[in-house]
Amino acid sequence: MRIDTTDIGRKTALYMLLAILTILFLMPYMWMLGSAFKPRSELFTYVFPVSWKTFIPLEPTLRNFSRLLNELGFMRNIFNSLLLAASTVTGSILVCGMTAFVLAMIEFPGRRLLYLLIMFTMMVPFEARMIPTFLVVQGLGLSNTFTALYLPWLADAFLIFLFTNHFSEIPSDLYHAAVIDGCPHRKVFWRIMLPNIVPALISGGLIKFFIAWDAYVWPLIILRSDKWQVIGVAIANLFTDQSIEWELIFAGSLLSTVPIIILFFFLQKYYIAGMMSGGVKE
Amino acid sequence: MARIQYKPGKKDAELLLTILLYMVPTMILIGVFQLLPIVKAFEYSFFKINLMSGAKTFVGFRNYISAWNDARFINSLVTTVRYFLMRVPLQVLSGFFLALLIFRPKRWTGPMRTIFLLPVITSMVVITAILGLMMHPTNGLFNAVLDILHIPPLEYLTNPDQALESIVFITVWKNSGLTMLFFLAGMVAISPTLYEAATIDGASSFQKHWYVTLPMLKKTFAFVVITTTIRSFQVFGPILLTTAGGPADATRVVVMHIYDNAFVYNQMGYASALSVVLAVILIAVSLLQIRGSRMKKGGM
Repeated sequence: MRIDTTDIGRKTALYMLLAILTILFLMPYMWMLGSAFKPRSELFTYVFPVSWKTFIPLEPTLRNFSRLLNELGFMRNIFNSLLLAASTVTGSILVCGMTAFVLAMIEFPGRRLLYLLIMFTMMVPFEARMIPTFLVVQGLGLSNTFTALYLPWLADAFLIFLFTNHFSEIPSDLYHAAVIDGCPHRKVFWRIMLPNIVPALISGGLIKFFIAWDAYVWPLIILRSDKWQVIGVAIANLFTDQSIEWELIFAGSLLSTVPIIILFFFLQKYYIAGMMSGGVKE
Repeated sequence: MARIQYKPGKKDAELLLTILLYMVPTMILIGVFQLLPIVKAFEYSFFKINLMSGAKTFVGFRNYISAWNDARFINSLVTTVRYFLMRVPLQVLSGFFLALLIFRPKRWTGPMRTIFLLPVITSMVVITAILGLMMHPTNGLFNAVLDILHIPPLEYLTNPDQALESIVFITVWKNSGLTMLFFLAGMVAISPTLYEAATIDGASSFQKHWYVTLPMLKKTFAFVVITTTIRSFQVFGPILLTTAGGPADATRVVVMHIYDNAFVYNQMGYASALSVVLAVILIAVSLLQIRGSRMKKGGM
Protein backbone atom coordinates (compact mmCIF):
# COMPACT_ATOMS: atom_id res chain seq x y z
CA MET A 1 0.00 0.00 0.00
CA ARG A 2 1.27 3.47 -0.90
CA ILE A 3 1.41 5.85 2.00
CA ASP A 4 0.67 9.43 1.09
CA THR A 5 -0.59 12.46 2.94
CA THR A 6 -4.31 11.85 2.32
CA ASP A 7 -3.88 8.38 3.78
CA ILE A 8 -2.28 9.80 6.92
CA GLY A 9 -4.99 12.46 7.14
CA ARG A 10 -7.68 9.84 6.87
CA LYS A 11 -6.02 7.70 9.54
CA THR A 12 -5.79 10.66 11.91
CA ALA A 13 -9.44 11.52 11.37
CA LEU A 14 -10.42 7.91 12.01
CA TYR A 15 -8.46 7.72 15.26
CA MET A 16 -9.89 11.06 16.38
CA LEU A 17 -13.37 9.69 15.75
CA LEU A 18 -12.63 6.50 17.68
CA ALA A 19 -11.24 8.56 20.57
CA ILE A 20 -14.35 10.77 20.70
CA LEU A 21 -16.66 7.74 20.61
CA THR A 22 -14.63 6.01 23.34
CA ILE A 23 -14.94 9.09 25.55
CA LEU A 24 -18.66 9.40 24.79
CA PHE A 25 -19.28 5.77 25.74
CA LEU A 26 -16.89 5.46 28.68
CA MET A 27 -17.23 8.83 30.40
CA PRO A 28 -20.23 7.81 32.55
CA TYR A 29 -18.35 4.70 33.66
CA MET A 30 -15.21 6.69 34.52
CA TRP A 31 -17.23 9.22 36.49
CA MET A 32 -19.03 6.43 38.33
CA LEU A 33 -15.77 4.60 39.07
CA GLY A 34 -13.95 7.65 40.41
CA SER A 35 -16.86 9.11 42.33
CA ALA A 36 -17.72 5.85 44.09
CA PHE A 37 -14.48 6.21 46.08
CA LYS A 38 -14.85 9.93 46.84
CA PRO A 39 -16.05 11.53 50.05
CA ARG A 40 -19.02 13.78 49.38
CA SER A 41 -17.11 17.02 49.93
CA GLU A 42 -14.79 16.12 47.07
CA LEU A 43 -17.60 15.01 44.77
CA PHE A 44 -19.14 18.41 44.21
CA THR A 45 -15.94 20.45 44.41
CA TYR A 46 -14.25 19.24 41.26
CA VAL A 47 -17.00 19.06 38.65
CA PHE A 48 -16.64 22.69 37.50
CA PRO A 49 -14.24 23.07 35.74
CA VAL A 50 -13.70 19.54 34.47
CA SER A 51 -10.22 18.21 35.17
CA TRP A 52 -8.58 14.94 36.14
CA LYS A 53 -9.78 15.68 39.67
CA THR A 54 -13.34 15.12 38.43
CA PHE A 55 -12.55 11.48 37.80
CA ILE A 56 -9.78 10.58 40.26
CA PRO A 57 -10.44 10.68 44.02
CA LEU A 58 -7.81 12.68 45.89
CA GLU A 59 -8.58 10.97 49.17
CA PRO A 60 -10.03 7.60 48.18
CA THR A 61 -12.39 6.09 50.73
CA LEU A 62 -14.34 2.85 51.07
CA ARG A 63 -16.84 4.47 53.38
CA ASN A 64 -19.52 4.69 50.69
CA PHE A 65 -19.40 0.94 50.19
CA SER A 66 -19.37 0.15 53.90
CA ARG A 67 -22.37 2.42 54.44
CA LEU A 68 -24.29 0.73 51.62
CA LEU A 69 -23.47 -2.80 52.71
CA ASN A 70 -23.61 -2.38 56.48
CA GLU A 71 -26.16 0.35 57.09
CA LEU A 72 -28.44 0.39 54.05
CA GLY A 73 -28.95 -3.33 53.52
CA PHE A 74 -27.33 -3.60 50.09
CA MET A 75 -25.90 -6.99 51.04
CA ARG A 76 -29.44 -8.37 51.13
CA ASN A 77 -30.37 -6.66 47.84
CA ILE A 78 -27.31 -8.12 46.08
CA PHE A 79 -28.03 -11.56 47.48
CA ASN A 80 -31.66 -11.32 46.34
CA SER A 81 -30.63 -10.25 42.85
CA LEU A 82 -28.14 -13.12 42.60
CA LEU A 83 -30.79 -15.56 43.77
CA LEU A 84 -33.30 -14.10 41.33
CA ALA A 85 -30.84 -14.31 38.44
CA ALA A 86 -29.83 -17.89 39.33
CA SER A 87 -33.48 -19.03 39.62
CA THR A 88 -34.48 -17.30 36.41
CA VAL A 89 -31.52 -18.64 34.42
CA THR A 90 -31.77 -22.28 35.54
CA GLY A 91 -35.56 -22.33 35.49
CA SER A 92 -35.93 -20.76 32.07
CA ILE A 93 -33.21 -22.86 30.43
CA LEU A 94 -34.90 -25.99 31.76
CA VAL A 95 -38.47 -25.06 30.89
CA CYS A 96 -37.72 -23.49 27.51
CA GLY A 97 -35.17 -26.15 26.59
CA MET A 98 -37.67 -28.98 27.14
CA THR A 99 -40.33 -27.22 25.10
CA ALA A 100 -37.93 -26.31 22.30
CA PHE A 101 -36.78 -29.93 22.11
CA VAL A 102 -40.32 -31.21 21.59
CA LEU A 103 -41.24 -28.43 19.14
CA ALA A 104 -38.12 -28.93 17.04
CA MET A 105 -37.77 -32.70 17.03
CA ILE A 106 -41.19 -34.33 17.43
CA GLU A 107 -44.12 -34.04 15.02
CA PHE A 108 -47.50 -34.21 16.75
CA PRO A 109 -50.98 -32.82 16.11
CA GLY A 110 -51.14 -29.17 17.20
CA ARG A 111 -47.38 -28.59 17.12
CA ARG A 112 -47.55 -25.56 14.81
CA LEU A 113 -50.48 -24.10 16.73
CA LEU A 114 -48.60 -24.28 20.04
CA TYR A 115 -45.51 -22.76 18.46
CA LEU A 116 -47.54 -19.84 17.06
CA LEU A 117 -49.27 -19.36 20.40
CA ILE A 118 -45.90 -19.10 22.15
CA MET A 119 -44.56 -16.69 19.53
CA PHE A 120 -47.72 -14.57 19.86
CA THR A 121 -46.72 -13.70 23.43
CA MET A 122 -43.73 -11.78 22.01
CA MET A 123 -46.17 -9.32 20.46
CA VAL A 124 -47.55 -8.08 23.77
CA PRO A 125 -44.57 -6.94 25.84
CA PHE A 126 -44.53 -6.68 29.61
CA GLU A 127 -45.35 -2.96 29.72
CA ALA A 128 -48.70 -3.59 28.03
CA ARG A 129 -49.46 -6.53 30.37
CA MET A 130 -48.13 -4.89 33.53
CA ILE A 131 -51.45 -4.05 35.20
CA PRO A 132 -53.35 -7.31 34.49
CA THR A 133 -50.26 -9.41 35.31
CA PHE A 134 -50.04 -7.59 38.63
CA LEU A 135 -53.71 -8.34 39.30
CA VAL A 136 -53.37 -12.01 38.29
CA VAL A 137 -50.29 -12.55 40.48
CA GLN A 138 -52.00 -10.79 43.35
CA GLY A 139 -55.10 -12.95 42.81
CA LEU A 140 -52.90 -16.05 43.11
CA GLY A 141 -51.79 -14.77 46.52
CA LEU A 142 -48.19 -14.47 45.33
CA SER A 143 -47.61 -10.74 45.77
CA ASN A 144 -44.74 -9.95 48.12
CA THR A 145 -43.14 -13.38 47.58
CA PHE A 146 -39.90 -14.40 45.93
CA THR A 147 -41.85 -16.77 43.68
CA ALA A 148 -43.65 -13.80 42.12
CA LEU A 149 -40.28 -12.32 41.18
CA TYR A 150 -39.11 -15.14 38.91
CA LEU A 151 -42.05 -17.42 38.05
CA PRO A 152 -43.67 -15.10 35.44
CA TRP A 153 -40.33 -14.80 33.61
CA LEU A 154 -39.47 -18.49 33.13
CA ALA A 155 -41.43 -19.30 29.97
CA ASP A 156 -39.81 -16.99 27.44
CA ALA A 157 -40.74 -17.00 23.76
CA PHE A 158 -37.35 -15.64 22.75
CA LEU A 159 -35.45 -18.46 24.48
CA ILE A 160 -37.82 -21.06 23.02
CA PHE A 161 -37.24 -19.51 19.57
CA LEU A 162 -33.45 -19.54 20.07
CA PHE A 163 -33.31 -23.12 21.36
CA THR A 164 -35.78 -24.43 18.75
CA ASN A 165 -33.56 -23.04 16.00
CA HIS A 166 -30.52 -24.78 17.44
CA PHE A 167 -32.31 -28.10 18.02
CA SER A 168 -33.53 -27.96 14.40
CA GLU A 169 -29.95 -27.97 13.18
CA ILE A 170 -29.27 -31.33 14.81
CA PRO A 171 -29.86 -34.12 12.23
CA SER A 172 -32.86 -36.18 13.28
CA ASP A 173 -30.92 -39.32 12.34
CA LEU A 174 -29.28 -38.90 15.71
CA TYR A 175 -32.67 -39.12 17.40
CA HIS A 176 -33.80 -42.11 15.31
CA ALA A 177 -30.54 -43.93 16.05
CA ALA A 178 -30.98 -43.33 19.78
CA VAL A 179 -34.52 -44.72 19.67
CA ILE A 180 -33.34 -47.81 17.79
CA ASP A 181 -30.67 -48.30 20.47
CA GLY A 182 -33.48 -48.37 23.00
CA CYS A 183 -33.08 -44.94 24.56
CA PRO A 184 -36.46 -43.75 25.86
CA HIS A 185 -37.69 -40.45 24.35
CA ARG A 186 -37.58 -38.53 27.60
CA LYS A 187 -33.90 -39.40 28.03
CA VAL A 188 -32.91 -38.48 24.47
CA PHE A 189 -33.32 -34.86 25.55
CA TRP A 190 -30.93 -35.08 28.50
CA ARG A 191 -28.37 -37.50 27.11
CA ILE A 192 -28.07 -36.53 23.47
CA MET A 193 -29.81 -33.30 22.52
CA LEU A 194 -29.08 -30.93 25.41
CA PRO A 195 -25.28 -31.44 25.27
CA ASN A 196 -25.46 -30.58 21.56
CA ILE A 197 -26.71 -27.04 22.06
CA VAL A 198 -24.57 -25.94 25.01
CA PRO A 199 -23.42 -22.71 23.28
CA ALA A 200 -27.06 -21.69 22.72
CA LEU A 201 -27.82 -22.53 26.36
CA ILE A 202 -25.01 -20.22 27.47
CA SER A 203 -26.28 -17.46 25.13
CA GLY A 204 -29.83 -17.78 26.40
CA GLY A 205 -28.75 -18.07 30.03
CA LEU A 206 -26.56 -14.99 29.78
CA ILE A 207 -29.31 -12.92 28.17
CA LYS A 208 -31.71 -14.04 30.91
CA PHE A 209 -29.12 -13.21 33.58
CA PHE A 210 -28.80 -9.63 32.33
CA ILE A 211 -32.59 -9.22 32.18
CA ALA A 212 -33.02 -10.59 35.72
CA TRP A 213 -30.21 -8.41 37.08
CA ASP A 214 -31.91 -5.42 35.43
CA ALA A 215 -35.25 -6.07 37.18
CA TYR A 216 -36.81 -2.81 38.36
CA VAL A 217 -40.47 -2.11 37.52
CA TRP A 218 -41.82 -5.58 38.32
CA PRO A 219 -40.19 -5.96 41.79
CA LEU A 220 -41.16 -2.36 42.52
CA ILE A 221 -44.85 -3.03 42.02
CA ILE A 222 -45.14 -6.64 43.24
CA LEU A 223 -43.07 -6.38 46.46
CA ARG A 224 -44.26 -4.28 49.38
CA SER A 225 -41.57 -5.15 51.93
CA ASP A 226 -37.79 -4.99 51.75
CA LYS A 227 -37.26 -8.68 52.39
CA TRP A 228 -36.83 -9.76 48.76
CA GLN A 229 -36.10 -6.38 47.24
CA VAL A 230 -33.48 -6.39 44.46
CA ILE A 231 -30.49 -4.18 43.72
CA GLY A 232 -32.18 -2.29 40.87
CA VAL A 233 -34.92 -0.99 43.15
CA ALA A 234 -32.40 -0.24 45.93
CA ILE A 235 -30.35 1.99 43.58
CA ALA A 236 -33.53 3.55 42.20
CA ASN A 237 -34.61 4.41 45.77
CA LEU A 238 -31.31 6.18 46.42
CA PHE A 239 -31.82 8.10 43.18
CA THR A 240 -35.46 9.06 43.54
CA ASP A 241 -35.01 10.21 47.15
CA GLN A 242 -33.63 13.41 45.60
CA SER A 243 -30.97 13.23 48.26
CA ILE A 244 -27.56 14.78 47.83
CA GLU A 245 -25.86 11.52 48.73
CA TRP A 246 -24.66 11.06 45.18
CA GLU A 247 -21.60 9.13 46.36
CA LEU A 248 -23.92 6.34 47.50
CA ILE A 249 -25.62 6.22 44.08
CA PHE A 250 -22.22 5.93 42.41
CA ALA A 251 -21.00 3.25 44.80
CA GLY A 252 -24.24 1.26 44.49
CA SER A 253 -24.16 1.51 40.70
CA LEU A 254 -20.57 0.29 40.68
CA LEU A 255 -21.46 -2.69 42.89
CA SER A 256 -24.26 -3.56 40.48
CA THR A 257 -22.18 -3.10 37.32
CA VAL A 258 -18.94 -4.91 38.17
CA PRO A 259 -20.37 -8.47 38.17
CA ILE A 260 -22.17 -7.77 34.89
CA ILE A 261 -19.03 -6.50 33.19
CA ILE A 262 -16.92 -9.42 34.43
CA LEU A 263 -19.50 -11.89 33.17
CA PHE A 264 -19.75 -10.09 29.82
CA PHE A 265 -15.97 -9.91 29.47
CA PHE A 266 -15.63 -13.69 29.60
CA LEU A 267 -18.79 -14.71 27.76
CA GLN A 268 -19.36 -11.90 25.27
CA LYS A 269 -19.07 -14.10 22.18
CA TYR A 270 -22.06 -16.13 23.42
CA TYR A 271 -24.04 -12.98 24.11
CA ILE A 272 -23.27 -11.59 20.65
CA ALA A 273 -24.08 -14.89 18.94
CA GLY A 274 -27.39 -15.15 20.79
CA MET A 275 -28.42 -11.58 20.02
CA MET A 276 -27.34 -11.76 16.38
CA SER A 277 -29.27 -14.95 15.67
CA GLY A 278 -32.52 -13.03 15.35
CA GLY A 279 -32.60 -11.38 18.77
CA VAL A 280 -35.88 -9.59 19.18
CA LYS A 281 -35.70 -8.63 22.81
CA GLU A 282 -33.36 -6.24 24.51
CA MET B 1 -34.93 -38.39 7.83
CA ALA B 2 -37.85 -36.40 9.16
CA ARG B 3 -38.85 -35.59 12.72
CA ILE B 4 -39.92 -38.29 15.12
CA GLN B 5 -43.66 -38.76 14.51
CA TYR B 6 -46.36 -39.03 17.09
CA LYS B 7 -49.74 -40.13 15.78
CA PRO B 8 -52.72 -40.30 18.13
CA GLY B 9 -53.91 -43.87 18.47
CA LYS B 10 -50.45 -45.23 17.89
CA LYS B 11 -49.55 -47.13 21.01
CA ASP B 12 -46.51 -45.16 22.07
CA ALA B 13 -47.30 -44.06 25.60
CA GLU B 14 -43.72 -43.13 26.37
CA LEU B 15 -43.54 -40.65 23.49
CA LEU B 16 -46.90 -39.12 24.44
CA LEU B 17 -45.75 -38.83 28.05
CA THR B 18 -42.54 -37.12 26.93
CA ILE B 19 -44.44 -34.59 24.84
CA LEU B 20 -46.80 -33.80 27.71
CA LEU B 21 -44.09 -33.72 30.36
CA TYR B 22 -41.94 -31.33 28.34
CA MET B 23 -44.69 -29.08 26.97
CA VAL B 24 -46.97 -28.69 29.99
CA PRO B 25 -44.73 -26.51 32.24
CA THR B 26 -44.26 -23.92 29.50
CA MET B 27 -47.90 -23.97 28.50
CA ILE B 28 -49.07 -23.48 32.10
CA LEU B 29 -46.61 -20.63 32.70
CA ILE B 30 -47.44 -18.93 29.41
CA GLY B 31 -51.13 -19.47 30.01
CA VAL B 32 -51.16 -18.08 33.54
CA PHE B 33 -48.66 -15.23 33.26
CA GLN B 34 -48.97 -14.09 29.63
CA LEU B 35 -52.22 -15.17 27.99
CA LEU B 36 -54.49 -14.93 31.03
CA PRO B 37 -53.42 -11.33 31.78
CA ILE B 38 -54.26 -10.37 28.18
CA VAL B 39 -57.74 -11.87 28.55
CA LYS B 40 -58.10 -10.35 32.02
CA ALA B 41 -57.07 -6.90 30.80
CA PHE B 42 -59.90 -7.11 28.30
CA GLU B 43 -62.35 -8.20 31.00
CA TYR B 44 -61.22 -5.63 33.61
CA SER B 45 -61.46 -2.85 31.04
CA PHE B 46 -65.27 -3.06 31.35
CA PHE B 47 -65.21 -2.65 35.13
CA LYS B 48 -64.52 -0.02 37.72
CA ILE B 49 -62.19 -1.66 40.21
CA ASN B 50 -61.25 -0.46 43.66
CA LEU B 51 -58.24 -2.37 44.95
CA MET B 52 -58.65 -1.18 48.54
CA SER B 53 -62.26 -2.27 49.00
CA GLY B 54 -62.18 -5.00 46.34
CA ALA B 55 -65.34 -3.57 44.76
CA LYS B 56 -65.87 -4.34 41.08
CA THR B 57 -68.67 -2.64 39.15
CA PHE B 58 -69.57 -3.26 35.53
CA VAL B 59 -69.42 0.00 33.57
CA GLY B 60 -69.63 -1.17 29.95
CA PHE B 61 -67.62 0.90 27.53
CA ARG B 62 -67.32 3.82 29.93
CA ASN B 63 -63.56 3.34 30.48
CA TYR B 64 -62.94 3.51 26.74
CA ILE B 65 -65.14 6.60 26.40
CA SER B 66 -63.26 8.20 29.31
CA ALA B 67 -59.96 7.41 27.56
CA TRP B 68 -61.20 9.16 24.43
CA ASN B 69 -62.10 12.22 26.52
CA ASP B 70 -59.01 12.09 28.75
CA ALA B 71 -56.88 14.98 27.52
CA ARG B 72 -53.88 13.71 29.47
CA PHE B 73 -54.15 10.29 27.81
CA ILE B 74 -54.40 11.80 24.32
CA ASN B 75 -51.46 13.99 25.26
CA SER B 76 -49.53 10.90 26.40
CA LEU B 77 -50.15 9.31 23.00
CA VAL B 78 -48.82 12.44 21.31
CA THR B 79 -45.78 12.45 23.62
CA THR B 80 -45.12 8.78 22.87
CA VAL B 81 -45.29 9.44 19.14
CA ARG B 82 -42.93 12.41 19.52
CA TYR B 83 -40.54 10.19 21.48
CA PHE B 84 -40.78 7.51 18.77
CA LEU B 85 -40.15 10.08 15.99
CA MET B 86 -36.95 11.23 17.70
CA ARG B 87 -35.65 7.89 18.94
CA VAL B 88 -36.11 5.63 15.93
CA PRO B 89 -34.09 7.65 13.38
CA LEU B 90 -31.41 8.49 15.95
CA GLN B 91 -30.96 4.95 17.17
CA VAL B 92 -31.14 3.35 13.72
CA LEU B 93 -28.64 5.80 12.22
CA SER B 94 -26.19 5.65 15.12
CA GLY B 95 -26.41 1.85 15.21
CA PHE B 96 -25.79 1.70 11.46
CA PHE B 97 -22.89 4.13 11.74
CA LEU B 98 -21.24 2.15 14.57
CA ALA B 99 -21.67 -1.07 12.58
CA LEU B 100 -20.03 0.49 9.50
CA LEU B 101 -17.14 1.62 11.67
CA ILE B 102 -16.26 -1.83 13.03
CA PHE B 103 -17.61 -4.06 10.28
CA ARG B 104 -14.18 -4.78 8.73
CA PRO B 105 -11.94 -6.60 11.22
CA LYS B 106 -9.01 -4.45 12.36
CA ARG B 107 -6.91 -4.56 15.47
CA TRP B 108 -9.24 -2.17 17.32
CA THR B 109 -12.63 -3.52 16.24
CA GLY B 110 -12.87 -6.06 19.09
CA PRO B 111 -12.29 -3.56 21.92
CA MET B 112 -14.49 -0.93 20.25
CA ARG B 113 -17.34 -3.44 19.89
CA THR B 114 -17.04 -4.27 23.59
CA ILE B 115 -17.15 -0.56 24.47
CA PHE B 116 -20.28 0.02 22.34
CA LEU B 117 -21.96 -2.97 24.00
CA LEU B 118 -21.23 -1.94 27.60
CA PRO B 119 -24.32 0.30 27.88
CA VAL B 120 -26.46 -2.50 26.41
CA ILE B 121 -25.58 -4.94 29.18
CA THR B 122 -25.37 -2.42 32.03
CA SER B 123 -28.66 -2.29 33.88
CA MET B 124 -31.17 0.36 32.87
CA VAL B 125 -31.41 1.70 36.43
CA VAL B 126 -27.65 2.30 36.62
CA ILE B 127 -27.47 3.96 33.19
CA THR B 128 -30.44 6.18 33.95
CA ALA B 129 -29.12 7.13 37.38
CA ILE B 130 -25.60 7.99 36.19
CA LEU B 131 -26.74 9.86 33.07
CA GLY B 132 -29.43 11.51 35.18
CA LEU B 133 -26.76 12.84 37.53
CA MET B 134 -24.61 13.88 34.57
CA MET B 135 -27.60 15.93 33.41
CA HIS B 136 -27.97 17.74 36.72
CA PRO B 137 -28.17 21.46 35.85
CA THR B 138 -25.71 22.71 38.48
CA ASN B 139 -23.57 19.73 39.53
CA GLY B 140 -23.71 17.60 36.39
CA LEU B 141 -20.81 16.62 34.18
CA PHE B 142 -22.54 17.51 30.90
CA ASN B 143 -22.83 21.19 31.72
CA ALA B 144 -19.23 21.17 32.94
CA VAL B 145 -18.16 19.81 29.54
CA LEU B 146 -20.36 22.34 27.71
CA ASP B 147 -18.70 25.04 29.82
CA ILE B 148 -15.29 24.08 28.40
CA LEU B 149 -16.71 24.33 24.89
CA HIS B 150 -18.23 27.74 25.76
CA ILE B 151 -21.77 26.46 25.19
CA PRO B 152 -24.43 27.82 27.58
CA PRO B 153 -25.69 25.25 30.11
CA LEU B 154 -28.86 23.20 29.54
CA GLU B 155 -31.53 22.21 32.03
CA TYR B 156 -32.18 18.70 30.67
CA LEU B 157 -34.76 16.73 32.67
CA THR B 158 -35.92 19.75 34.67
CA ASN B 159 -37.04 21.78 31.65
CA PRO B 160 -40.30 20.80 29.87
CA ASP B 161 -38.74 21.68 26.51
CA GLN B 162 -35.67 19.49 27.05
CA ALA B 163 -36.95 16.62 29.19
CA LEU B 164 -38.25 14.29 26.45
CA GLU B 165 -35.10 14.90 24.40
CA SER B 166 -33.03 13.97 27.45
CA ILE B 167 -34.92 10.69 27.79
CA VAL B 168 -34.30 10.05 24.07
CA PHE B 169 -30.60 10.65 24.65
CA ILE B 170 -30.47 8.19 27.57
CA THR B 171 -32.28 5.40 25.71
CA VAL B 172 -30.41 5.89 22.43
CA TRP B 173 -27.07 5.97 24.24
CA LYS B 174 -27.97 2.72 25.98
CA ASN B 175 -29.35 0.87 22.96
CA SER B 176 -27.40 1.95 19.87
CA GLY B 177 -24.89 -0.88 20.49
CA LEU B 178 -27.71 -3.38 20.23
CA THR B 179 -28.87 -1.91 16.91
CA MET B 180 -25.23 -2.11 15.80
CA LEU B 181 -25.25 -5.86 16.47
CA PHE B 182 -28.31 -6.37 14.24
CA PHE B 183 -26.65 -4.41 11.43
CA LEU B 184 -23.41 -6.37 11.87
CA ALA B 185 -25.41 -9.60 11.51
CA GLY B 186 -26.81 -8.24 8.24
CA MET B 187 -23.44 -7.04 6.97
CA VAL B 188 -21.69 -10.35 7.65
CA ALA B 189 -24.22 -11.95 5.30
CA ILE B 190 -23.30 -9.69 2.34
CA SER B 191 -21.11 -11.57 -0.13
CA PRO B 192 -17.56 -10.10 -0.37
CA THR B 193 -17.61 -10.65 -4.15
CA LEU B 194 -20.04 -7.72 -4.44
CA TYR B 195 -17.45 -5.41 -2.90
CA GLU B 196 -14.70 -6.88 -5.09
CA ALA B 197 -16.80 -6.23 -8.18
CA ALA B 198 -17.40 -2.65 -7.03
CA THR B 199 -13.67 -2.14 -6.45
CA ILE B 200 -12.90 -3.38 -9.98
CA ASP B 201 -15.49 -0.91 -11.30
CA GLY B 202 -13.56 1.82 -9.50
CA ALA B 203 -16.14 2.64 -6.81
CA SER B 204 -15.06 4.84 -3.89
CA SER B 205 -15.71 3.52 -0.40
CA PHE B 206 -18.72 5.84 -0.08
CA GLN B 207 -20.12 4.54 -3.39
CA LYS B 208 -19.56 0.96 -2.25
CA HIS B 209 -21.70 1.52 0.82
CA TRP B 210 -24.34 3.48 -1.14
CA TYR B 211 -24.71 0.92 -3.94
CA VAL B 212 -23.87 -2.34 -2.13
CA THR B 213 -24.25 -2.13 1.66
CA LEU B 214 -27.47 -0.09 1.85
CA PRO B 215 -29.53 -2.06 -0.72
CA MET B 216 -28.36 -5.37 0.74
CA LEU B 217 -29.44 -4.32 4.22
CA LYS B 218 -33.07 -3.47 3.34
CA LYS B 219 -34.41 -6.37 5.41
CA THR B 220 -32.20 -5.50 8.37
CA PHE B 221 -33.35 -1.88 8.23
CA ALA B 222 -36.98 -2.99 8.22
CA PHE B 223 -36.40 -5.31 11.20
CA VAL B 224 -34.50 -2.69 13.19
CA VAL B 225 -37.02 0.07 12.51
CA ILE B 226 -39.97 -2.10 13.57
CA THR B 227 -38.34 -3.46 16.73
CA THR B 228 -37.16 0.00 17.77
CA THR B 229 -40.67 1.31 17.09
CA ILE B 230 -42.15 -1.33 19.40
CA ARG B 231 -39.59 -0.50 22.07
CA SER B 232 -40.40 3.22 21.71
CA PHE B 233 -44.06 2.58 22.46
CA GLN B 234 -43.20 0.66 25.64
CA VAL B 235 -40.66 3.14 27.05
CA PHE B 236 -41.21 3.46 30.78
CA GLY B 237 -38.38 2.58 33.20
CA PRO B 238 -36.10 5.58 32.57
CA ILE B 239 -39.09 7.95 32.83
CA LEU B 240 -40.48 6.47 36.06
CA LEU B 241 -36.99 6.74 37.52
CA THR B 242 -36.20 10.33 36.53
CA THR B 243 -39.18 12.59 35.87
CA ALA B 244 -42.17 10.32 36.64
CA GLY B 245 -43.94 12.04 33.74
CA GLY B 246 -43.03 15.63 34.56
CA PRO B 247 -42.14 18.42 34.34
CA ALA B 248 -45.58 19.68 33.28
CA ASP B 249 -46.39 16.25 31.76
CA ALA B 250 -43.57 16.72 29.22
CA THR B 251 -42.47 13.08 29.58
CA ARG B 252 -45.87 11.53 30.32
CA VAL B 253 -45.82 8.64 27.84
CA VAL B 254 -48.60 6.05 27.54
CA VAL B 255 -47.14 3.50 29.98
CA MET B 256 -46.46 6.25 32.53
CA HIS B 257 -50.13 7.27 32.34
CA ILE B 258 -51.22 3.63 32.73
CA TYR B 259 -48.96 3.22 35.77
CA ASP B 260 -50.25 6.39 37.44
CA ASN B 261 -53.87 5.42 36.89
CA ALA B 262 -53.25 1.98 38.35
CA PHE B 263 -51.00 2.70 41.30
CA VAL B 264 -51.43 6.38 42.08
CA TYR B 265 -55.10 7.12 41.20
CA ASN B 266 -56.24 3.55 42.03
CA GLN B 267 -58.19 3.19 38.75
CA MET B 268 -57.34 -0.42 37.84
CA GLY B 269 -60.24 -0.83 35.41
CA TYR B 270 -59.38 2.33 33.54
CA ALA B 271 -55.67 1.39 33.52
CA SER B 272 -56.68 -1.99 32.03
CA ALA B 273 -58.62 -0.27 29.26
CA LEU B 274 -55.56 1.87 28.44
CA SER B 275 -53.40 -1.31 28.46
CA VAL B 276 -55.75 -2.87 25.90
CA VAL B 277 -55.36 0.20 23.67
CA LEU B 278 -51.56 -0.03 23.96
CA ALA B 279 -51.59 -3.79 23.28
CA VAL B 280 -53.69 -3.27 20.15
CA ILE B 281 -51.20 -0.66 18.87
CA LEU B 282 -48.25 -2.97 19.56
CA ILE B 283 -49.91 -6.00 17.95
CA ALA B 284 -50.67 -3.88 14.87
CA VAL B 285 -47.01 -2.87 14.56
CA SER B 286 -45.91 -6.52 14.98
CA LEU B 287 -48.33 -7.69 12.28
CA LEU B 288 -46.87 -5.03 10.00
CA GLN B 289 -43.45 -6.56 10.60
CA ILE B 290 -44.68 -10.10 9.85
CA ARG B 291 -46.38 -8.91 6.65
CA GLY B 292 -43.25 -7.02 5.65
CA SER B 293 -40.94 -10.00 6.13
CA ARG B 294 -43.38 -12.28 4.22
CA MET B 295 -43.43 -9.87 1.28
CA LYS B 296 -39.64 -9.71 1.21
CA LYS B 297 -39.41 -13.49 1.17
CA GLY B 298 -41.92 -13.71 -1.67
CA GLY B 299 -40.01 -11.14 -3.66
CA MET B 300 -36.64 -12.82 -3.47
